Amino acid sequence: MTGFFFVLGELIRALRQKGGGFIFLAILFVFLFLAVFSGLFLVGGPGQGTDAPRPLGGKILVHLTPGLSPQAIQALYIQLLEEREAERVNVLAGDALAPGGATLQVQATSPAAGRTLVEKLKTTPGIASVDYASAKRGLSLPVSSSLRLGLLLGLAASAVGSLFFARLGFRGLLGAFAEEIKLMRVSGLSEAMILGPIVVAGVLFGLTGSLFLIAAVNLAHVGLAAHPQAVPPLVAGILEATRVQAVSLLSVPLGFLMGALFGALGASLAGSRELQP
Amino acid sequence: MIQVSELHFTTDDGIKVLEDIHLRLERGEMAFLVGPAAAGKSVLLRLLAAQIPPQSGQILVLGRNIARLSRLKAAGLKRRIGFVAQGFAPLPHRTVLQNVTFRLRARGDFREQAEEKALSALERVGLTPQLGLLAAKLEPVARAKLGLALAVSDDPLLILYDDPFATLAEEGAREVYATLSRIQSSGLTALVAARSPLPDGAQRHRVIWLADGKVTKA
Repeated sequence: MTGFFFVLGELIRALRQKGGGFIFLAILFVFLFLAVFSGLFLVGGPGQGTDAPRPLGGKILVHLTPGLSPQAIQALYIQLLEEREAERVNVLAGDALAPGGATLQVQATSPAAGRTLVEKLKTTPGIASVDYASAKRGLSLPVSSSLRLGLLLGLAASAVGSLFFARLGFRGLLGAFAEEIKLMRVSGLSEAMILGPIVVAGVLFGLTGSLFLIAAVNLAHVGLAAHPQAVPPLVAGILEATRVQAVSLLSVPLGFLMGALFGALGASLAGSRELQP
Repeated sequence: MIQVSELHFTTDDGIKVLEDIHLRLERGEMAFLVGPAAAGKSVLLRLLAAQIPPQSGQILVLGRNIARLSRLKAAGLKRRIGFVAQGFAPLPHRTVLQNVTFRLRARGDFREQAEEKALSALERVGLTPQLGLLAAKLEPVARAKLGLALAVSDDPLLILYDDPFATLAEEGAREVYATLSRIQSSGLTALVAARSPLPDGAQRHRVIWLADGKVTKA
């Protein structure tokens, strides 16, 4: 394996000579692709296009009547805690969600329990409104169909863009590494030892794009905690803690797959006649 | 060491490059394959070096039938052959030492081991004073010697060198031949393709004449 890693290192070092800029653009497009993918499939479920934030599946947002005293809010909080359908109750920083009143978030023990609890809460004094997303909706937030179409187009454009720049990048890179490839072929290195590092380099490029996204969403999530009102609802939806985790988990295999495609592209270029001794 | 019989080779366009070649080279022997341009020397050397697959006939190199080798086994055989292709061009943006260590490290040697072998090979061909020089700046004689250093760097059993004297003046060709001869005398088997006339002293080795794809005198 020493030879394999040596060739991989030399290949990546050759990026400084040629192809580095295009490879960086390809990585950037992988980042965009994954970001749009996350927006579309983790957040963008079919819906009516409302701008209001919705609770996650199984969670109930309880908007309290404006002007309630702290004691009344505490009493409602304890009442909710004692409901057998409620698993957990949190007090949200309510201003952004229900102007003029506090909001409690209740985690139901099950979707059915959630529905029962909602019916109870609707008639409870001191509660202005109740918002409940069924468990079936899962992680999705509703987005308008035009935004959904835009995201789909963005997804296709970023996928095509990443492959386009990866091809240009690999052409430049393999051009700078052509003599080395010929020398390796003459020296009796197997094709696996020559093409393998190219595929692995592609995978590394793809994974770099996914790592960029993971870093970006995690940093933005930390930043959002301090200023929740500063971002649009859709972005706020992506940056919700559960989704940040989902984005991180999904980005790695997707980035790997995109990178494997890059690698396959690079390997096919390396097999061309010009790179034979 | 090398045994070729009834070897034929035709290009995709139907041009006959080699016709009924019979050849034998003993262990420790050095021979020159001489002929004009397009005589088929390079194709024959590439076939012997397992760089291209044979079409018909039999090629035994180091006791192995090249036509029957799997890709993996062919790669293993190539590692025991020091082959320098026609018009050898070193890696221009690397130093002389880096050219040799690149080959060795890509083949799996660790840095120290590769450097040790490379320094030894460069010393054998007399390139030690130039090991820090960029390969692009080498004179033709030094470039030919670097090709030889690459070929012998991993202790091959057989050297196949395609036209080492091309582009060299008479004196340069003599110098490269002397280096080649000195290295081969340590027990290596060598087959060198070249055009006539050969450098002084080379005639003492066996000369195989090739013209129009046929051996005319062996």
